[in-house]
Amino acid sequence: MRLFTLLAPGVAAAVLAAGAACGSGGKPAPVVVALAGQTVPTAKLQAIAAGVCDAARQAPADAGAARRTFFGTSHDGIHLIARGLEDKDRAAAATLLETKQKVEADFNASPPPPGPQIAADLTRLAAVTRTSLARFKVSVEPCPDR
Amino acid sequence: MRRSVVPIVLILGLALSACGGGGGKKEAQNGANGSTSSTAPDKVQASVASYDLAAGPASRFILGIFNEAKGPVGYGTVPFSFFFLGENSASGTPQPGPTATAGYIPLPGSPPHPGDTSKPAYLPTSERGVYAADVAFDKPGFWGVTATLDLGGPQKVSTAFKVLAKHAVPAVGDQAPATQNLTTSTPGAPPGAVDSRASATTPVPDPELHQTTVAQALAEKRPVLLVISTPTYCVSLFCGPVTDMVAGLAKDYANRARFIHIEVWKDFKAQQLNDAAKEWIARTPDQDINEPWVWLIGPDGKIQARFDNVVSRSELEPLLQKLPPMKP
Repeated sequence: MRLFTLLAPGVAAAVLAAGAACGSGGKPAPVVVALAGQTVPTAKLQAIAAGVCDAARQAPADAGAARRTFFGTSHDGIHLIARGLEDKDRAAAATLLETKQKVEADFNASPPPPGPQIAADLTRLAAVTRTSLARFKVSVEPCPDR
Repeated sequence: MRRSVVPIVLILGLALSACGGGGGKKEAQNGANGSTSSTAPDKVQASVASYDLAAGPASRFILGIFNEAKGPVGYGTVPFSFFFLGENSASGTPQPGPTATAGYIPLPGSPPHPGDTSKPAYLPTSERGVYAADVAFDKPGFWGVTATLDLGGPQKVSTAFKVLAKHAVPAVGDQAPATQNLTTSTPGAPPGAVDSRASATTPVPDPELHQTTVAQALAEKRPVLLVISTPTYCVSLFCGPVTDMVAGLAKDYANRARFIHIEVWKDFKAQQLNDAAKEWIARTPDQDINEPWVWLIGPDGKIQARFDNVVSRSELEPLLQKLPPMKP
């Protein structure tokens, strides 16, 4: 029994509204997405994905900056995406979380792995995040070549 | 089994989230605790982060406060005023209840806040935590809480939650289940079922937390600090930091207690819980799954302390320091 109904518990993620923005494929992209019982702006999801790319770009030269970018911009949002994905495809949610875990293990290791390895793991996470968001019809550009 | 909605709300706010181990079939009996005060993007919001509130003796009540646009709120103290709303719904006339002053509990591993920590303030999104106070509810039903704080101007935020007649998860004073949890030496145990961060190619990261069973520690009349979490499959942020913090305590206080981590999932993809985790956090088929949880079990096998969702080293360390050194 739930007190407030403004949050739909356990709701499978679904596109709520198709709007003006266009994805890279030229198809209309949703402005907001229903994700794990929440209405999330597409732009926010795209920013989460972009943050992983930014961290990957920073990692070879400055792992600290990459860490700050990852945790400050993307980490929480990836959890949200995973939660939404879990309702659609539990195996895909597992892949996203496992890939994220690899990045976290890199950042938490002492000593940390070489920057290029962190960058490679972040790039892999960016790809998995992109694939995950595609399940919600959210289009994200691949990370630019470094 | 189904996840609690609490973490989801808080993730979205990028402010606070619980490690909803997930996969629960039903919103927990604490499901009402998933309520939040508002979804307006530029308003202060509050979300009850407690998992298992019940009428009776005082127990820990935790509340996350955040503004989706400005970030999580932390530090200082915040007065809480509780009110009873009704036995069966939250629509009744509020009846005044207890009051409490809540202190801030940062997520383990949060960076030190560079500014003034004596008053509540907006924090960077990389910081997060909850406000905690011990509160006794005299009856089950629907309750509300109002938090009053100054964030460059007075702010009042209220939210509602459910209080059960009795706890669903082992609580202070209960006998601890004599759990036969998996360890690194359990024959045939998949590494990922011992700790979700482990695999056939990645060793269990905190082997000191997987050396013994709760049952064995109880039989030896040893105190136990037990954490149940799923560091990889956590849907939010707290499982890994809390597990790491307990691992740090295990190194520093190895002579005071047995330290045990039980992984929630036997197989996340197949949605199979570890039997040991079930004994603690999924005791009935329709019970929601929440984590992380931490318990301190005394040498008599009785639960001495229980922490849901967010717990800091500063809360656990004094309890360990009170325990006498164990005899070999």
